Amino acid sequence: MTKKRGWMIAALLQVLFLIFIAGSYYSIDYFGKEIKIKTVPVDPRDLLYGDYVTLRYDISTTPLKNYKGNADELDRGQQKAYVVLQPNKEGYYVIKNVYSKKPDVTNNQVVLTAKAEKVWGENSFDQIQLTYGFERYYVQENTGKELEQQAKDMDVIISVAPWGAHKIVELNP
Amino acid sequence: MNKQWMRKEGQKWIADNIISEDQLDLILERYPDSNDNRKVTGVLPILASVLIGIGILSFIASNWGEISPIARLSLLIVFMLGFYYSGERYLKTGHRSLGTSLNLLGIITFGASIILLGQTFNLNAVDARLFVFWSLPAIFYLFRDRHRLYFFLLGLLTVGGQFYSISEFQSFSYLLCIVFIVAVGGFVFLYPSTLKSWVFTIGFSIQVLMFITVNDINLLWFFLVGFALFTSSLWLEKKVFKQPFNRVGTLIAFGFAYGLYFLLTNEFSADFDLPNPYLYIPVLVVLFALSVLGKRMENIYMHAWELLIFMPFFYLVKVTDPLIVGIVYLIIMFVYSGFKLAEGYRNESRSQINFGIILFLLVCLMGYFNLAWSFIPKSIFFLLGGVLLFILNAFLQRKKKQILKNGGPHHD
Repeated sequence: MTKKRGWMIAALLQVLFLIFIAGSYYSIDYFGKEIKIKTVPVDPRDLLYGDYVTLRYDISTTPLKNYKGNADELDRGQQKAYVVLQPNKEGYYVIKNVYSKKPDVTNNQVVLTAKAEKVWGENSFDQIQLTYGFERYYVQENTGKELEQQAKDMDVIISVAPWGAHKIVELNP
Repeated sequence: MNKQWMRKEGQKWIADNIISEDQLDLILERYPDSNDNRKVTGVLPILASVLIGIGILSFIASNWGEISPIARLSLLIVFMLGFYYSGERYLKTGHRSLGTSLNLLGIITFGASIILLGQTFNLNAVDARLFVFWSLPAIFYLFRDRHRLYFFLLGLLTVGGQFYSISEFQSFSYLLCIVFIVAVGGFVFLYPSTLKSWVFTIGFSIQVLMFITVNDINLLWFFLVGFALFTSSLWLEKKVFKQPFNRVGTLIAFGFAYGLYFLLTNEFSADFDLPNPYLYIPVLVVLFALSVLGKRMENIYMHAWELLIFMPFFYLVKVTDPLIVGIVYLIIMFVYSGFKLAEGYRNESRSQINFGIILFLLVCLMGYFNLAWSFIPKSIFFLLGGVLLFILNAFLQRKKKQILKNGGPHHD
């Protein structure tokens, strides 16, 4: 009997998994907090990969001195890091500090998880590169050209759920 | 088995008074023709499912923008369930290949759905988790039906997923590696098969190689992995892993000898990095001791040359000129492949002879390439090289035939 039904259970689990992905996406709408961040120019050659746009943000790099933790860890390639953002005077969220362990934050701050890596800055080895997981924005095929023109300077609204999930809500030129 | 061919052959046997006409009829009756037909038509559904699978993937890649996200999700779920359901129906009525192909399509649709949902919702993957989830239904069907197609799909997902993780996220997915070892390795362990054990051994080596490259570990550690594979082939009780472990381990070491020879005899050996000897040498000594002990346990005489290829001659660059070390490697490879070939002839084993021939030809070709390149004009160089290779191959093949002719291979 179990052998006969096994495939149904397996199929059901797969359906539930797909629904779970969709559900977790929609639930960000209800529980998430919206933050506004600024994009910075990207090397135009790798901006557009056919069906998605590559985005770089103001918060994608930060000086090494903002890292609260053992900086040697960053030498070993990509490390998980907690980035604390807080709004500046214009309402954009900018990096306050980067932590290796989850910090406590005040009400107007937001924590994002990111992969951190030490990279060359303007004149020395003192920058952190942060990858959040919303560096790609999928577009309909062949509609990326217009976005490409604007991607240098855009406001991106991102919704962050209390459990750390996030999504791009909109891109504003 | 082709019935027409059997009848034709059978007539010869009757002419030679080996069997009578009645006996031929009786023999022919034992092999129904239908088996043959099923084999040919069995390939078609598999081919069809591959085409449909590609169709589904490209459909998704073209980002069907007009449909709302929820409708897309429902459509994919309906597709997936449809494949699984019809697959199950066909399996029940005995259409094994068709049913399996449909289930395979179901699994492909599942993975494609995850990718599509990610694109629809702009969820960016940060690791290879997608492939872990994708593997799960493949594992379920593999252990339930034990069809080889699931095995290959699973191998593709776990090794390909790892490759994706390395190239896209520059990180090694331990979870995916564990899934590979437990599911793919476990299946070969429980249901031994030569081809599958080779797939596992090669896949495993690729995973380890990717681990070493992405973590910036000195590549020479992979040489030790080859030695470890070879050593464990001597200790393993499971017969199905013995040959692939032995051969792949040897090939890795041989590949290193090959690469080191090139590296050291050409001029880019200036920044040649060696692994930390205080860690490397002890591990090597332990492996060496274990392999000698392993051979002893099997009561097989340990040929010294078998371990020759696993010796760390590259440490010699500390005391002598790299060029000399490179030449040492060339000599080692010549000696090793020669011994391997001689052993094959002695054992009259076809697979050992073939393995030896390939190794030997590789070394000859390479030695020739490196030495002759600078001395003779290119066209003559290629001409001579080709002729040389032909002659060498013909000679080795003839020797092989001579030896195998008398009584044929005793053990293979």
